Amino acid sequence: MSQLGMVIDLNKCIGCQTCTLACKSQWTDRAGREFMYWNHVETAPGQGYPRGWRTAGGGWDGDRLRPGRLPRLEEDYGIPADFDFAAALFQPGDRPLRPLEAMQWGPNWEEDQGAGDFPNGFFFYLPRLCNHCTHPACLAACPRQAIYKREEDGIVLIDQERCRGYRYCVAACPYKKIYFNPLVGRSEKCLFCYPRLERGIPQACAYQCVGRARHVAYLDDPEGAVHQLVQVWRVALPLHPEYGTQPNVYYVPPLSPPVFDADGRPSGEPRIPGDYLRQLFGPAVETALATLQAEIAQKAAGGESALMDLLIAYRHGDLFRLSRPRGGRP
Amino acid sequence: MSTPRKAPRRRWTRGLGRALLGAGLGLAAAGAPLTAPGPIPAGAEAPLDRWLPVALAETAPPIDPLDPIWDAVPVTPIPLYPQATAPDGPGGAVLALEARLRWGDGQLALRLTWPDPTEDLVDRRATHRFADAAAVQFAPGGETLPYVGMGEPGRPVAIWRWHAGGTAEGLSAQGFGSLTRDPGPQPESRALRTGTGWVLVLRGAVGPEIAAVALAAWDGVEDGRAGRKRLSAWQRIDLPGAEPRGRLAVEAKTAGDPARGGQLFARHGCGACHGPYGGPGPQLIHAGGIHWPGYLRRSIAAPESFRVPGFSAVMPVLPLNPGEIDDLAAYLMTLR
Repeated sequence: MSQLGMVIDLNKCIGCQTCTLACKSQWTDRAGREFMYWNHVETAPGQGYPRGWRTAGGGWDGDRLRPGRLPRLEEDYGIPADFDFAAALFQPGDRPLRPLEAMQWGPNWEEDQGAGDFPNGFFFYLPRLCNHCTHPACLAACPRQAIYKREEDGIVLIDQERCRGYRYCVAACPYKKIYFNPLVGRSEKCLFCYPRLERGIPQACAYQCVGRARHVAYLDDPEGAVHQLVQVWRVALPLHPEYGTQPNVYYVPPLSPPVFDADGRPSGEPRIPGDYLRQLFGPAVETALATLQAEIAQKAAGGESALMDLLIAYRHGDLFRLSRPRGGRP
Repeated sequence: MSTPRKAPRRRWTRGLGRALLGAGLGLAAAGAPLTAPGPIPAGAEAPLDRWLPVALAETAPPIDPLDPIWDAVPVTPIPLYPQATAPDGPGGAVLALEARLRWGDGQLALRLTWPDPTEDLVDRRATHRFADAAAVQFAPGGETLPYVGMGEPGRPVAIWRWHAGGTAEGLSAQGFGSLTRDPGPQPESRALRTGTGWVLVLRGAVGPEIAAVALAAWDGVEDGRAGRKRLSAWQRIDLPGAEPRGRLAVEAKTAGDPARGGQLFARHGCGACHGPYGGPGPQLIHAGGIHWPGYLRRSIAAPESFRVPGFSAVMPVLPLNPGEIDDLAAYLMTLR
């Protein structure tokens, strides 16, 4: 099986949500999908979206599925705000444009909140989408074999004809990236934009990224950025590898400015605690950050760095290599 | 088999013409039993009496659960057992459902009453809730019955499934995970919420080839869906034009001695796999309530003939003679 992968460089993500809206306007803007964000950007640390997804279970415990719980629309996803545009915009008076129902939670509720105390507060942006896992728990949990992984690119899809809305997949996904559509009674998820890919166009989230933070290529394509960053440079890591699903979306972990000491002087310690990053990306994050720092220093000193050139992506088109590698089997 | 003396007669409804009966119901006219309402057999010693009486009429049965016609239709209590073979089975208590069946003008209606203290309707503003639901499963006649858990490969069953706050749909299945929407005419449903549970009428076209039905209920409050349900054993029904009912006699035969069967169960260590808390084999705590003796004999004598999906193929063929297999089946029939 060939596997299409994505690398998201967290040092380039500015949290602008252009990816979120590119996805939403393409796929989830109606018919019971209003609350769904197949791609979203959350602020880390935080509870994320759906609220508390890290503690909602799912994934693998060895070769057994770990139990998981179903996120609730109102409390965990947040009911999308509705507005009375006619009253606010076209009727006399000074009624402001406000949500009809006061919102309690939403996909970007904790934006820029982060953690830590002044002057050592910290946060970073964490874009999340379906990881199109190599060992998908959702697929294993479905009693109807309604979920399948495509041989040609490893994309994980839900057959809408077979799905009966049992939601075992929603509980099983440790990233909570499958959404139950309560209007149609079936579960839905990120398609990795396969209809675009089949026309040679990258995923909407990756193509629209203003920060050039997303690389897309086959993992076994030696010239592709994904292979280079994941297997050669080892600076791109899966999120929560301990969940056991072997994600195929990888992250270049965030570097951070130094902690200020009691006298207000910068120390040598990074602002984002190493423990926190190890929780998210596993122990390999230390080497990855060290490699990044070394290559940055080399480039800053006027030297050459193939890694930096790759991450900078001087040409937008360099981010994407969508043709299957030669010799790769479909 | 039940005897004519024991079984109450079918209650004929008004307006029934004898001409309607046709040749297939000759037995009924001769006074043979078509129905066996009343208490559920307590154990394997009693003859297997899983008959659901069907009131026959010329007109289509009513869809309204409160239609007074239902008062004249015999009531049969049917126990629904927690599905123990599903990985996500509900456990808990046996559910007491009551069924009334009426047939007329090519249509069968089932009026089902079952307790369910909480009303769980389909909720279009929730992602974590499940609706109460019920279903009836139909099997054609034959030497044996298909596996009661949604049929088996090559032996399809038809299903009507209703969920609270929604409609009924016609489905077919050939085993776990194979449920498929039927493209044909859909069954009708009308449900009534009482203070303590549901009253549901399901109605649709049913042909005379149908020889048995099984019933199931899901409880939304316990996240009921898929195998997380309670289900009944196959219950024989007799529809106009059906072949004589004796064809399932072998399947229903309870010949063995349950006490000897219990000793065999212990001696061969069956409980090592089929323990009360699960194991490599399906739990058998409700085996006698859900299965027929013929199915149990088959699964002992030829475990490879049909395996419950999700369980590994480790069940050995034990060196048992036919009498011992009867004894084991008789013992398993006492597990309810």
